[in-house]
Amino acid sequence: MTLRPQAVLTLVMLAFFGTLSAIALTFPPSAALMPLIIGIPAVILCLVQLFSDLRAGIIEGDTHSGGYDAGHQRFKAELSMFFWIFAFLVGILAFGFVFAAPVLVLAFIWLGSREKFIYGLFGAIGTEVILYLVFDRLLGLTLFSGFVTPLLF
Amino acid sequence: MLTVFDSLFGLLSSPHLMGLILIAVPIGLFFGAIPGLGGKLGIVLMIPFVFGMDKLSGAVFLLAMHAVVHSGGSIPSILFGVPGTGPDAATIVDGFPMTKKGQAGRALGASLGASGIGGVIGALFLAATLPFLRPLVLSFSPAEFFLLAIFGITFIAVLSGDSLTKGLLVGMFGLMLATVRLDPHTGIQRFTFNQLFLWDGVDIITAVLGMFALPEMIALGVKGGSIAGQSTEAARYNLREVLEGIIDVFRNFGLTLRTSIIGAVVGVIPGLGGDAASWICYGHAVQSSKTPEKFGTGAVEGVIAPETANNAKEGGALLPTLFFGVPGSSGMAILLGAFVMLGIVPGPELAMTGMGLVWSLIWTLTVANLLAVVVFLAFAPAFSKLTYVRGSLLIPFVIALAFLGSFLSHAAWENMVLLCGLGTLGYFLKKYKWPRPPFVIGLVLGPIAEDSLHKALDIWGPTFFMRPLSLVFIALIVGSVVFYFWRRSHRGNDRGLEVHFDT
Repeated sequence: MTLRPQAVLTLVMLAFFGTLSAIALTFPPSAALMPLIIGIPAVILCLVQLFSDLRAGIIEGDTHSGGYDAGHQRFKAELSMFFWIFAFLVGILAFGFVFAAPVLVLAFIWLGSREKFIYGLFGAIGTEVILYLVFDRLLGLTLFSGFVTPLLF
Repeated sequence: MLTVFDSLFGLLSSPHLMGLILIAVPIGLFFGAIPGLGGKLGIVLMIPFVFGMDKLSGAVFLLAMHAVVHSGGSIPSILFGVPGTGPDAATIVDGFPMTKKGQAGRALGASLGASGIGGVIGALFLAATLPFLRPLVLSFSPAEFFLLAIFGITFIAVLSGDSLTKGLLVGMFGLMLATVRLDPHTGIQRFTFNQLFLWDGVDIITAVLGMFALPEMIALGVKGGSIAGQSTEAARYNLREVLEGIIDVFRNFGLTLRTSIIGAVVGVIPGLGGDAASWICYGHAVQSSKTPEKFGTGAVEGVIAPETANNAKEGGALLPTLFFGVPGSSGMAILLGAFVMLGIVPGPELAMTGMGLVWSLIWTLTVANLLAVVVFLAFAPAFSKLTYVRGSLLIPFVIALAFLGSFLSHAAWENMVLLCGLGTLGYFLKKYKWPRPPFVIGLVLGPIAEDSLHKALDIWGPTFFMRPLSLVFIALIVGSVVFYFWRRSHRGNDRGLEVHFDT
């Protein structure tokens, strides 16, 4: 027997509100007022929602139709997208926008989505043009240069 | 009166502002025309571009873009039967059958003319209500502003999803995140865990990008394929047909005027949003028609009514957004976040000292909707091809812009980490049908609500709830909850509008 994913989300919200409400109890009364006014009713609502989720039926897996294969395909697609999101994060933190973003755009289009290399290349060039020419040169905004890039150059 | 026309003259005579509107209008049409993108994403992605602009320029640019999104959204609705944005779904009912009958150009022209006139009337509606609204806003005390924030979240939670509990929880999540900062009264760190970037609070741009931009891109990547999912050739049409459709709007001017006003009024009510406005007006068109049996088979009135409402509602939605800080729609919720980032503080301060800015925004709505007619006429064939763009080509670019927007707002790399965390949560909220608009409202109104609460307690103590206007708001909050349960008990008993669908 496993919890529905919806119930897991409710548990996450319950943990969030419960933790912050508990921390708020350590604040001076003036600082604790608003967090507790929000947190305590929120914990109660989370419990109501959790009861509703559990009453709806404790069933295994996802609720999407299509059977096991469709659910498995969807799960793989979601994992892939989260991988790319975090790849963008790590890449930009390491090498900055100007170097990392175009490479990641190219990698996503060519390797991740299996599109033609030329599409990825155009995407990368377009990204670089916008980041460097528009934001850096034209608008004069300071783009994050990464933690590794300054060590290399 | 001087301010009114000063603002109009100032806008029209400024090459900088008119240039921004000229750039913003095609961008807004573009985001509206591509199903799956939508105006909300357009605003969040344009936010990095307005960094460094003065508040008027930034607000004009974003509002002009947002005002014309639904004009663009009618293109895939009419040509392919795929709504460009949610509120454009009503346009499909008669717009797509018109295309199948070989009247695509006429449908597009009717949509174009209706959108333009609807948008202008919506802006004028806002202008006409200002003399009544300003004294009302200035009469609100801190007690009312606190309760207004609670009412705003409750009302939107009632209307934005199937579950009141989920909507309230998401709104409270936004309110709780708004408490993450240095406490303004004691100066202590509250939930910041010694992280400097949180001392001023969670960055609203990061939060909005995380809740809306990243989840949409993740969902698009999971879905795969082309955004429209269509493989048919785009319908052909010529300029003469489009002009005939525009003339149809004037042939049915009574309907156009009525649905514009209805749309603007619906837009004022926080949380109802564009879907309600377009469907209510479509229903009105059917009920007021001498030939209701034609609806659903390609009646041009069935295109005019929802399209006027879609654009008119933006003028109405601006009213609670600017003066009460309660966004009239989810798009306005994100726009509100952007306004706050630009330094525009909604509420009484705006009513007292910011009327010049307000009038400039009203005229921006008017000018943008009129310009959209010209741009639409020039670029409609090109827009129709955009629906074939594969999501995989857009996704990485949008993700990169989201990270950029998140970093630029406070030049803090930590915000990009926060973006990923909120984006992950936002995706699962979307996947399991937890409404997300209440989150933005909670985050934006949280500081205002807390400040108002402390002031109200300092002035009146806990008895501030017993003030007459406070009791009105409490009654509205209770009424919203009662309405939710009443609607749930009646769902399934109401057959709704009987229309013959021929799609």
